[in-house]
Amino acid sequence: MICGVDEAGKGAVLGPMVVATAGITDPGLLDSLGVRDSKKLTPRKREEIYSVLIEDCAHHVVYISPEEIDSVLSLISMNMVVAQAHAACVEALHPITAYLDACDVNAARYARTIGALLLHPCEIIAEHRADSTYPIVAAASIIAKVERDRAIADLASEYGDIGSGYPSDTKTIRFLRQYILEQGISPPCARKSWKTVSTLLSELKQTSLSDF
Amino acid sequence: MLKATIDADTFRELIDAISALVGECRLHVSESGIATRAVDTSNVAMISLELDAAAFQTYSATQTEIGLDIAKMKNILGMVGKNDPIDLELDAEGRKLSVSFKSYRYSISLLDTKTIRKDPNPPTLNLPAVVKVTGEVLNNAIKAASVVSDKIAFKIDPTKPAFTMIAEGDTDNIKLELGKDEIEFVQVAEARSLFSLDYLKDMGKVIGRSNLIEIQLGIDHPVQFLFTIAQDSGRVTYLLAPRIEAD
Repeated sequence: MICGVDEAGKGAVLGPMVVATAGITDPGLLDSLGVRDSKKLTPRKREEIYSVLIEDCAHHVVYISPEEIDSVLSLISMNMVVAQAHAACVEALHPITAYLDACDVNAARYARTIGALLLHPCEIIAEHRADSTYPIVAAASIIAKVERDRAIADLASEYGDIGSGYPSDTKTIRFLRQYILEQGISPPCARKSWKTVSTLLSELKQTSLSDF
Repeated sequence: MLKATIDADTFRELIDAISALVGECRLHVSESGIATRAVDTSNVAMISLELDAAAFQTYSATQTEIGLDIAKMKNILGMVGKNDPIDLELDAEGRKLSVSFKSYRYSISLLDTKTIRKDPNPPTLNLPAVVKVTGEVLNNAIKAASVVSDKIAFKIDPTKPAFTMIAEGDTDNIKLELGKDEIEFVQVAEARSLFSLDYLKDMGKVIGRSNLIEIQLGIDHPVQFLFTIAQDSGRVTYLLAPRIEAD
């Protein structure tokens, strides 16, 4: 079996990071599906492909909650958090070859990092933009993205429109600012270790000269 | 009308003091000198500044108001040598300022004063604790605090007396305690307020050059820094609103 691994929500300030792997023994399987980089597909098309992948591929998904990210980030870098989750995914499927989206400026070093984390070694191909190059990584990216979107949809049903959960999304920032203003703390679904959150929290504590 | 000559270093002090807080300002020109008062966009920090005619090598002016792009002025000053005299002259319509040094002559479009925020009114404050310290000591404390945190607490313990600066970060903290030997206690009273280092870092660069800073403090109140520039021919007041920690 070969497998691909990719993640969704790495840079997001809200919600979990989702790392997924998809594994296949017949490489022809993905050709008929129109599997492509998840970012280039419409949400509907993603869902369609996702349901087929879940049926026909070996797969494994790792969720890393905001609390977990916050607690480990004082000890290791975000890239290392991703690497550990990538390795856990590879480990779950025991492939002969694993294709990864490299999460390090140095892709070869990333492959070595993953190799060192594996109990059952396999061939590791780590490249930048592997999700555009290898359909099997694209398949993993689709699973990760759909799972992440569902997590965000769950949060939206609890909190209302929270946007994509990324700091660049004005809806996300509006939600965070409003929550912090009303509650005085950040919501549990937010990654407190993100600069976005600490900046919004300190905005709240800063008085203005007109208060005096 | 304004026609004056000022040495580059003095002009730089003036521009740096203003640019620490704002990118543009309304400059009041009168026979006795120039003055400005401005707040930053978030209304957290205020500068009041006066520069006497005596700070200039030559100075002749009548009452007027000009809108100055401070950021642009700072860039121009990068071209000027340390002691070059700078000639300033306002055109007849009061729309352009000519800035000349060595063989350069810049003609700078002034900002429409109507587009600049009205002069802010300083809040009425009762700041009971007053100490004097060298600018270097204060700036060094600000720099040290910035390494570990984004905020610093200024405290005065009237019993010792002692002036304490404490910065607490997520993992590290730093404390500097100054007693009678290091600083002058002008008015002793209990004080403690917390301030954002984002603002203080910018102020610190200016304050650091001054021999003596007067610090006025209260409890969860703004801090006021008073110091002189241009060999005592100019006076600057910085006012900074505190951060309030709900605990």
